Amino acid sequence: MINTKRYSRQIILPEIGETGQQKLQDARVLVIGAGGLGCPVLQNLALAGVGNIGIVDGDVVDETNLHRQLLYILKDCGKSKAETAKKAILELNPEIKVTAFSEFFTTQNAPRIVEGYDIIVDCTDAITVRYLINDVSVAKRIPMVYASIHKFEGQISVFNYKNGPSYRCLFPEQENLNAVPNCAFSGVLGVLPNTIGTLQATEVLKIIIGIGEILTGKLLIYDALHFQTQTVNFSKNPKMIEKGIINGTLLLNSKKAIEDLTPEAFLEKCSQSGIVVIDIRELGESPEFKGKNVIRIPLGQLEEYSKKLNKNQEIVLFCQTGQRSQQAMNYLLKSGFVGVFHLGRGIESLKNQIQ
Amino acid sequence: MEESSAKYKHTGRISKFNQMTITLKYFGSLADITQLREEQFTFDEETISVSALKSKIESSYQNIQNINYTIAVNQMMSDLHVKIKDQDVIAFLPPFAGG
Repeated sequence: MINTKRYSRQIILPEIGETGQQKLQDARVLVIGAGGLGCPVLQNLALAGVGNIGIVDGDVVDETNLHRQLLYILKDCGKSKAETAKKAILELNPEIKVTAFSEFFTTQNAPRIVEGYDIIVDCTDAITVRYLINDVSVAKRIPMVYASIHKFEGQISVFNYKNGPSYRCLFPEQENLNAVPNCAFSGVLGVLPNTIGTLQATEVLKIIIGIGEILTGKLLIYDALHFQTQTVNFSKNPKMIEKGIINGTLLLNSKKAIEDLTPEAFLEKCSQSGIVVIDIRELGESPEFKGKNVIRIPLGQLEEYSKKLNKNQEIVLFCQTGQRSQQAMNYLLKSGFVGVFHLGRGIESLKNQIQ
Repeated sequence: MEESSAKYKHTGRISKFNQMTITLKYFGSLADITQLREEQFTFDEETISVSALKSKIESSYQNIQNINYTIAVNQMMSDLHVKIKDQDVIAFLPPFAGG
């Protein structure tokens, strides 16, 4: 049952009514990133009565977040953002259900996390994750409400809405380019993500209720410093849609994506094209394992080498026993790579197969 | 605001024959590189393709080469072969990363 008193001021709007409020109550929205954009999105969705909200963020609250991330206070520093945000929005509205995922969104956990959600809100701060979110939402045919910020400027658009254009149609992925700076690097005016996040939440509510015009096929750019807005129209690029569908479907079907590969799964990966298999042992170590995609980059040189790789590149690591490759995998995942696996018990577990 | 230009076209000396003036707008990290939000360019040509303009800009501001961006002509995302005309407004849009 809907609490008609709590929502009376929006139920009274003929465009919403009790039917619209019921749609909000039944909606399932996944918010990826609970930072500058995520906070206002979560706050507004919770207040509006969106009945099921998922929050994904593997980070903890830091004092440098407090000038803009309005769900957190000083004593939250050091605590999980997803859990803290969950607690904060449940205090704002205890009548909704909230699920916290205290982990970063990766190719490994994406299939599990997105299960059952109807809309994804992209509030992340890394371009590679945006491509991942795009591919998952294209493959699942659910809308992705995108926004991102840079200093005093914000961008917002809705992708994959009713078969509309996707993130890749607007920004095709390019390799070997400099990483795009995030807030930690380039700075941000505290109020800006709150403005942009509120616009994102508005689009989410309109999509759920089914009213108004949705910001699809258009990118809105807001410049807070000069109070200027600009809209750029863009259309669907069938090749880019297809790329998203292929990537996303592959990912969602590999439901049991386990980072620790069995010898069989490892050999299977080695035979696939497009995967980089890295032998991270020192150059003298044996037995040697050869394959068309296999390269030897000793662990000490991996950091340097990984800078040349695209972060969406699927990578399989192996060493003698699985210990060093685990370490290397954790390093790559931490530095933003999204598809990293390793041979769980090392090349020793493969001895029978290579001889 | 541009409506008046048609009226005075025959007297106009701003844009000579075989010359075009276009406005370029830079966003996000591209504005950081160019140190400009907007500038006007005049070419001794009547038209120029988006890809030729891109090369000109990338040779003026070399750091732009390392950035992924989309080009919009008169607020419409554009392919590299599109022809730019006199008075067009070209936006250089990188994806932002922050959240």
